[in-house]
Amino acid sequence: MKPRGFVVALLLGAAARFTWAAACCGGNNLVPSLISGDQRTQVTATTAYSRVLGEVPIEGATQWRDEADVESRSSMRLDAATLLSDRWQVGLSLPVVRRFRERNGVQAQAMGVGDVAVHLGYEVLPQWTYSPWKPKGWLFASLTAPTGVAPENSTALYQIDSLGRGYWNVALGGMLLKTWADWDVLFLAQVNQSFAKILTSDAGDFILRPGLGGSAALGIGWSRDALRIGVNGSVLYEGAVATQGLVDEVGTRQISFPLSLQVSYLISDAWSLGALYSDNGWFGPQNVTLNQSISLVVQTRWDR
Amino acid sequence: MKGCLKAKGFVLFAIACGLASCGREPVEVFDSVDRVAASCDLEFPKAGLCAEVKWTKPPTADEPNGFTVRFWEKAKGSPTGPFVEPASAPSSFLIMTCCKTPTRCPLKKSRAGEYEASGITLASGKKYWQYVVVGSEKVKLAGEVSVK
Repeated sequence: MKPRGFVVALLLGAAARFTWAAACCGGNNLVPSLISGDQRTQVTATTAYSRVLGEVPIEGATQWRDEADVESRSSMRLDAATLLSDRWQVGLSLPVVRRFRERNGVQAQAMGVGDVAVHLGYEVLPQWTYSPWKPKGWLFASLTAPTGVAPENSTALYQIDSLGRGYWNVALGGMLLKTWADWDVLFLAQVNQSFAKILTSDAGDFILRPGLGGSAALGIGWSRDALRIGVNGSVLYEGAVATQGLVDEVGTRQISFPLSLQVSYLISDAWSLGALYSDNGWFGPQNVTLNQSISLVVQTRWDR
Repeated sequence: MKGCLKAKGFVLFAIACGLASCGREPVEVFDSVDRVAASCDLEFPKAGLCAEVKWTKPPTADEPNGFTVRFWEKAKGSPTGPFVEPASAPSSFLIMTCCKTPTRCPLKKSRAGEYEASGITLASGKKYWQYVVVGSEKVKLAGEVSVK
């Protein structure tokens, strides 16, 4: 892989994580920050800022936030990945999240650890010799722990202290990456399933069973020297949570189609910088919070 | 022959009566006890109780919310009292209508037959179903709790 290939995958993890915790669903659409080049170890720091523009309720009509209602989410996430062998890799994701909301003159904010995840990756399609059509490919698995406060356990106004999804989650996915001269194409897909949990109350127990979730993304990039400009379109789906026990009800699924624009720059073989803008309100989202996000990514690597 | 005609007449009368009443609501006559029951929004038939839920203020996302639940005997009481203790401690919860996720509302006894829930935080612009539980009886309030 050419050195600029590093920056192709640099923004993958950032692009795939602009999903907000929603009461309806249990998944997290987590995509690990995979080693996709000739590195032995890489560490990625991502700082992101998102602002809520409105909601698309299940009834369909978008409810835009007015100026007296400001909600934002900032995060700093460290992703580390290292090779276990020539084709196996393992990684860790540590997010710290800060949420803020001001509405009708009332302010609330919270900061803390989000949901921590570990990853396992395998390079299923290595590129030992050049091929005009064969892509590089990886399979990955992620396990996310509910270390952030779940929406159901929130006690603060606006559920502002809810910094995680509240479920153990397993994701399986794959990524294909192909470069031709100045162009690259990337395809990524994953499915995830959160485990059921019991919520106890004075009235009795609720059993919350999340549905299957998944996402797919297609990205195209153009590179010149150390600079890459890319666009990435995704579809995110989260199955509804079924609530059983005291009641027997099924919620509503969540669908969105985030679009992101990316610029990345290879400072050296060991360092990359990236910036990303993402918006999930362009193409008919359902039952989601609409938000725009900006993130900055710094990555450092150690060669094999 | 006469008996046969009588029978036919009865059948025609019955059909005519049936057609005439088609589509009409059944008419009931309430006695005084039933008029009390008409205000029994939350009825617990096994316990013989009625209950009423009153939110302290219109539910909002901008501050913690609270409500009061009062119980009275269906046969003797009314929403103004006298209030009675259920045999087992009552409880309450909310279910968000969109997503079916629960919100717990622990009840604390404030006086005889009266219980309070406080510190309930709700999501802006959402609607909730409200339930009150007494023993094995779980009753859902008519209508929805709308949050500003």
